[in-house]
Amino acid sequence: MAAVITGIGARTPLGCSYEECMDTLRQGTLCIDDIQNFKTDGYEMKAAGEIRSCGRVVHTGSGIDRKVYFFEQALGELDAKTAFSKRYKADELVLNVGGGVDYFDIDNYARTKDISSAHFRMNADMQELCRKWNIGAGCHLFSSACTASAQAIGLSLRMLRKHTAGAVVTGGADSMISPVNFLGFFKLGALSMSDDPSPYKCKPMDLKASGTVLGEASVAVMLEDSSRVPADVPVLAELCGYGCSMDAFAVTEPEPTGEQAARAVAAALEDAGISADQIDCIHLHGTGTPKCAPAEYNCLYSIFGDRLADIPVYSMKGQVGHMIGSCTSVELMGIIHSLEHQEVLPTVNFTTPNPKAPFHVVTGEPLKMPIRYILKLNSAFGGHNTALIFKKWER
Amino acid sequence: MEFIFRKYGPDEPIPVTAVLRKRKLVKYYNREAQAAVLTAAEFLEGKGVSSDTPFYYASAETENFDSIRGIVGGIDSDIRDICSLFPAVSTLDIFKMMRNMVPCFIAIENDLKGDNNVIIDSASALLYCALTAPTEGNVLIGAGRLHADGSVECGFALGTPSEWNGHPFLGSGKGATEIFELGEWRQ
Repeated sequence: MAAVITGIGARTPLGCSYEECMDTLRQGTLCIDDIQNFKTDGYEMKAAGEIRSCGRVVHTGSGIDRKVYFFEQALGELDAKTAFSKRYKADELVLNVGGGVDYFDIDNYARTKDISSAHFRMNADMQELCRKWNIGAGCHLFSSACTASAQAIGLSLRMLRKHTAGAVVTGGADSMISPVNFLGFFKLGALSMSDDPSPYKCKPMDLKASGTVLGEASVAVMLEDSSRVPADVPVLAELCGYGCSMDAFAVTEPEPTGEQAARAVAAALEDAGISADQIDCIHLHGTGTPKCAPAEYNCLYSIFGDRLADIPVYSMKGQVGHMIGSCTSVELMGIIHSLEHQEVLPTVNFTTPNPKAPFHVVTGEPLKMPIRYILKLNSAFGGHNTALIFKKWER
Repeated sequence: MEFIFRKYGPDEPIPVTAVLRKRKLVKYYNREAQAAVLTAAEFLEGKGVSSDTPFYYASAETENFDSIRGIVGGIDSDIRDICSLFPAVSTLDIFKMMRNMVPCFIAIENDLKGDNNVIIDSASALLYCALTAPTEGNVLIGAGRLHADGSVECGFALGTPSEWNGHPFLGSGKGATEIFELGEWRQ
């Protein structure tokens, strides 16, 4: 059994369709700017990656939970591409989606001062979407912060292998574009405050990395058994390995030696049945926070040794920001790009190597190279580490 | 398979500090975290659970209003202006809003470093995590639900993946704490 990705529906800062996202990604267009969806007057940090269509930020009215609003659109796009709701019976289809911090309707609270009106509805909203799209074998939301969509995708792989689902609609839906969520992350001290020379820039793996930039995205991904994919449905990539671990170290910072993250990588390699030597490039978590890159480097050095200096790495967050609960599902498009075009994209905003994390970061032009296996890393507040391994599809 | 299920009333003290190894983190605990860490300590006592035991936890999507109240309770002006929120927001309340903090605290307290996942409420998702866990040994699952009045319920179970086969809540819309309230079941 091979678990393959056969379609993506996407609403991200890169664009409002999978094709638009892939085009913008390839062009390297920066998708971060001052927030337009709520007032940030007087605020020290104003930038984020908001969902855009044709380069323009998509505005929504107050009281709209943007992650659910855009996920419904992403599901519609996915169904139009893959016909999942017709090809599978309801009792074969599962929804596994990584989400984020609850949406709090602050405008409604301002009007009513009724705290109980702030009912958190993501589960109920997703169940409604499942009914609409004929998904009847489970509506599952995950919330391990920045690894939520990685864990949703990883569980989907396991469910297909154990035949506990015929097919899985997976991915992520998260939005930090609301006053409470945005301010929360600022108070945690996680946001970029660099003003030299590029204010608010997320600078993954860079010596001058000072913090991340938040974003939002809803991405629906079709994962199914290759034997059930019709000939006219294209396969974008094979998902062949998954591993995860827990630091059990601290609340907000990664375990600095990367020992537990390395256990996740080792588990993913074993799961995929390949050796570390077979990994061609690595798509990092790469948040742009000062502690992220050294921990990722230490993790990977313990797996790859001196060969790490020659393995190209990439982070998408410099271009689009950090989507928290949906980041892996967005970054999946970078993986598909690498597999389809046999190249590693340059990491936007990377200029100065970090001696504590001397990665081989691609700059300037995309690096052309043969790519068969890609390792995808993510980690989260709370100490979750995930590793996914993707393979170029070979029928 | 072993189960534990506990309920705490709205004002009932939850004496979690008595069992903590890392007491400085208790300031981040909401009542769900207090109940879950205490119940996990009671449940795991003497079981010798190894650090690579997979651990999956579900936190209910209910009425976590104490944290929200802490964040916005003092606001009475135009709260669309983010600056007016700034003084009222406590970093501690932010942690209390993050659903993965409860399993994070349990992992730190019990040195759990294995496979893991954090679920919003769903019994089905929690059971599928256990059923597909990458081990033939024991898996720890848990769930908590915090109500608006401050009452809280939580439960844990320890069993092998195959023991969850055929559980009636697989694929259902049941809340995760109901697994532990039900306890032993028959196919």
